[in-house]
Amino acid sequence: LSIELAERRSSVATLAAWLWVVAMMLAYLAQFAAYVRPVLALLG
Amino acid sequence: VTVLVGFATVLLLALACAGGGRAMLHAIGLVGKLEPRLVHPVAFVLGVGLLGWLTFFVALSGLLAPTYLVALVAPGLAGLALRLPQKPTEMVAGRRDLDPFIVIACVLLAAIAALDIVQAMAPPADADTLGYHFALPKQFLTAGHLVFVPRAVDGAAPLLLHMTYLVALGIGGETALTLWVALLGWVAAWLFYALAREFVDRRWALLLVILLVTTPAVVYGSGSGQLELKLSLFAMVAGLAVARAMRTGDWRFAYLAGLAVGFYVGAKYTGLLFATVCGLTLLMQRRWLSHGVIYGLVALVVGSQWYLWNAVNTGDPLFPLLYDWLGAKHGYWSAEIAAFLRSQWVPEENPAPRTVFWLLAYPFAATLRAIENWDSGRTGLGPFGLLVLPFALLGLWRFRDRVTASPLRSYAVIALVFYVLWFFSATSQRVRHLLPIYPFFLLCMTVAAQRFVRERGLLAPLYGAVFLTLTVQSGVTAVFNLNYLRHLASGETREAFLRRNVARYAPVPWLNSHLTSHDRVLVTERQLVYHLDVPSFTASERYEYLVDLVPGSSDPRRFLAEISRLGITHILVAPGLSDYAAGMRHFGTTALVGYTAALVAAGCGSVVHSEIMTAPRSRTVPTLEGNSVSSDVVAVDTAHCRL
Repeated sequence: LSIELAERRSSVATLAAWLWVVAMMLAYLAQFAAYVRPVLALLG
Repeated sequence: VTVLVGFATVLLLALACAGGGRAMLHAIGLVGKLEPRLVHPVAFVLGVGLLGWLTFFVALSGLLAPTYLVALVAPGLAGLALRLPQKPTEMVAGRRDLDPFIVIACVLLAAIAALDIVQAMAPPADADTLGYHFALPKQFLTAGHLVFVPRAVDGAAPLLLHMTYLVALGIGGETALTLWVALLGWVAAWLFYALAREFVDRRWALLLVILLVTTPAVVYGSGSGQLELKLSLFAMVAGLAVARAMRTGDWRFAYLAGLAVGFYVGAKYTGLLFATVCGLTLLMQRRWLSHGVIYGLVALVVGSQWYLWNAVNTGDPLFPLLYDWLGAKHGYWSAEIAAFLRSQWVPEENPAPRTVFWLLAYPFAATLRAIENWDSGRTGLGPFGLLVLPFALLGLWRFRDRVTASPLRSYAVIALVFYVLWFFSATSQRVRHLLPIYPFFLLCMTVAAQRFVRERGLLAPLYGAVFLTLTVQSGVTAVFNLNYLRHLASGETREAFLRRNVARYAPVPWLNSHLTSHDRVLVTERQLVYHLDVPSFTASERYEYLVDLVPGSSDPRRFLAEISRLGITHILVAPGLSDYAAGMRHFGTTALVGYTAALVAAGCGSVVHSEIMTAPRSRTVPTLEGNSVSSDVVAVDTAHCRL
């Protein structure tokens, strides 16, 4: 049981860590939304 | 040919700095005390500082001809003959398998370096760089000697690094200068790698280097004359020396810290904050007195030259910061402009209140919001710090009993205390001003996070954070350099490039072709100064008082007397006089255009040329809407003046 609990805790920690990383990256990128079109136009 | 001369000059400077710095390390007796991987970059940094320090005296003596500059640099080459500690035998003899990860990292770094070289082939276009980082060395070279520029913020400032720019420009011309500033950025990356290897393996050290060189603030500033990344050279050597002084008790490391801090102090006023921080850190140990005295004396001797220069010229070593107490010689400053600068500059450069709340909130706000006067967003520090924050904090808590004994402690203390002092000091809150301590921040955060995730089996999210950051930042690096790639590939002319990239550049070609070295043009757009090949004077309502343009001043006769004293023959005004009469206004030029209109009305001048000046909102993304304003060049003629 303790192994199972530890595994579950580890999966939750991993999921939380991924959520943080992805959420913060999206929050960071959100400030550049206005640049998407001009940059795409530049590349196009 | 100019490109070859540029490369040859930078090679000469690099070898001379490496040799000169090696000689310094030998003289201090530290060559054998540093790991081989640290000796070369530390020596190089000392060589750069020494070059800047010595050039001050050469410039002061009026010996700014290329021959003298080569003679100044050449002895540094002799230092290359000095012996260095050998690498451990197994490192030399043992062939390691090629690690694909390291190969990929090296290829990425090589690609970024190639882009930096492409950028260095284009004319400089950054406004601060054109306004003073490159303009002052050019001005000194033209004059043949050091010239005191009584301007706040960007004139009467410590110029130790600018002196190295001067040497590059004086010997090899503009390409040498742009290559030299790019090289200094890569020396910072090299030194950072060497520092990081004490705590992490090669893979992580390379990752850290890539994270550093793709940081938006670094991408933006490393190929220009902007100082902050270059200052991290001195900051890293000082931090290393402080840490080693505390660990080993060896006074020679305190001496090295004093040298590096002295160079930092000589290169920027914020070096005074950094000197305080390193001094305080050195005091937190058993040999605090002897180390403190050695450090203080060396830093004072090395760092004081520009402060003495200011004091001799104005009476104020920090001109014009101490005006309220010391005044200023020669009418260089007044109570009115001091009050005006304080009332305008401080709130503009400090959008966040200096409170404990904002001390804590600033890093988050500066990461997640593009605030103009912070230069966050496009030219900020990137997302990595935020992404790894919880891992690093948990690591700090998990290994809290080891923190006090950790060799990283000194770096963490220096970074943290510098940040606190900087935030409360009312200097500019622009994010890039944190770049000198950013390597320490990156290193401490990454090591704490890495130790924690390794123990908890959470490596994948940390690798994910690194991967996402590198993907975004590499994209930023590529997009930023498109402008320079297109310039090089299309064979675009220098003038066309400058018209596209330098704000309100339009009148410069006309001024260069119609004025001579006997003329002097008054401008308010400082980014025009470097590309002007004729004498100029940069007027400002807040940074200089030789021409009084403080709002509320209204005496055209005094204005005429002031510009006559300066030998001004032409005035570049924006908006043009007819638009001004129709009610149009431009930022910070109202008094000047008003005076100029009065001169023309009184027959003391006439409009000789008109242009529409355009400023791109972004050099990187030209499709973003820029702004335009009319301009007139007015020739001053006092022969029939009725003022």
